[in-house]
Amino acid sequence: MSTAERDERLLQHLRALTDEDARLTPPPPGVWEAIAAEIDHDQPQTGSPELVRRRTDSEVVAPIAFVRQRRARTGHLKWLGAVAAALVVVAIGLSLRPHAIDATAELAVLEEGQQPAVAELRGATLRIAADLPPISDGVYEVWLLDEAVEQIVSLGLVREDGLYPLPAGVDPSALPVVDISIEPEDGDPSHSGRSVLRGVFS
Amino acid sequence: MNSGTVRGVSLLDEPPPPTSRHARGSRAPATLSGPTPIAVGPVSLTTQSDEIVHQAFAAGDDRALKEAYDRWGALVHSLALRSLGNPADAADATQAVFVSAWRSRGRYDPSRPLAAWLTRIAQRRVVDMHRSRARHPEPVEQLPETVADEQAIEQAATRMLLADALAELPRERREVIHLAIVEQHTHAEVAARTGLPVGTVKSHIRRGLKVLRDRLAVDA
Repeated sequence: MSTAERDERLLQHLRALTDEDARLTPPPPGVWEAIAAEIDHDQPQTGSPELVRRRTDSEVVAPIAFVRQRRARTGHLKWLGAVAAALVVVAIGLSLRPHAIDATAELAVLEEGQQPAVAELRGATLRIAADLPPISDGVYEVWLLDEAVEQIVSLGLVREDGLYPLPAGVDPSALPVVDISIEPEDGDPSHSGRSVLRGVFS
Repeated sequence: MNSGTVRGVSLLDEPPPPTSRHARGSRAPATLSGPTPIAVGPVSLTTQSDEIVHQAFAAGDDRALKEAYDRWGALVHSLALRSLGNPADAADATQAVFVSAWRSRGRYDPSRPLAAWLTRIAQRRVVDMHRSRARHPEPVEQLPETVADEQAIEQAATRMLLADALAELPRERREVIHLAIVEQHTHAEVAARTGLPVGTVKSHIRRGLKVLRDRLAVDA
């Protein structure tokens, strides 16, 4: 389906909206418990909890919480189990290996009152550790741009967790400048021109 | 993503950008041994953006399943209830949708909205339940009015997904979308009715439609 067709379909659906479409009925009590119980019966994942926790501490996504106890094994099956468990540990380790830091940008202060900050790119997520003072004349917004300022992409307003997933299709190597601006709440989605911190990936 | 031009003068005019690091050329990532520790830690997902929940879900963090249930359980359940008409069947369908979504999370692409993916699974589930009903008709004289046709289910699901996304828009933007798109007023009329400048009306429409379009994006 082309973009135009998709847009046309979107408009048709919007025009067809009824009050009933917006009426939400939460599931009755007990449904979540039934889901949790059913999931719990799934084959347990074996692996070293220590390894998983240590690795995930630096993961972009928060720690995995479904590591379960190994089942007791008996007799000659023991070594087979150990081999299988070792393989699983390796597999989990590989799959959970955090993205290495791909690039770092030290953000320099462009407006008085700000502190220098650091932005790190890991995979498709930008992390910014910045101590931004509260402001009353707007909101902080994070941007990626190229050095010629011909292309600019918003990563959204500054978030408390400092994590900014890059929108699909955004190539950080083509947009190596990290910029934090103050945006007046005037409904204009473009950059205000008031940058407070900026740095380039290296 | 908002692409576009930058308002006013070049961003790089003043003060000068810190290009010195860049001039040194690219360095190995390993050289960053942490000037600033970044505290991420085991944070609660309830305050996180949808994107973080999408990633955690795909990564197999089971708290993301609960979070998805809290955020979109009502949407899934309402779709099932509307289509099946029977509260017990709707509860069963909701349970099945989340269990199935969790077990097939390896096929979920976290760059796409989880709400749309869950809704897609719910549609299939509901269609299956209608088929099995057709094979084993219930001895009930008066089933409640339901949406049974496959295409009708899909359209209802899309509209419910849109209504859900609309409800999450900031009030002003939602109002503008409603006036301009649903009621089909001109930009000038919307501006007059809301007291907003036409430019703001247009930007609300552009940004609002982008959110809604993205919310429906299940397929590439």
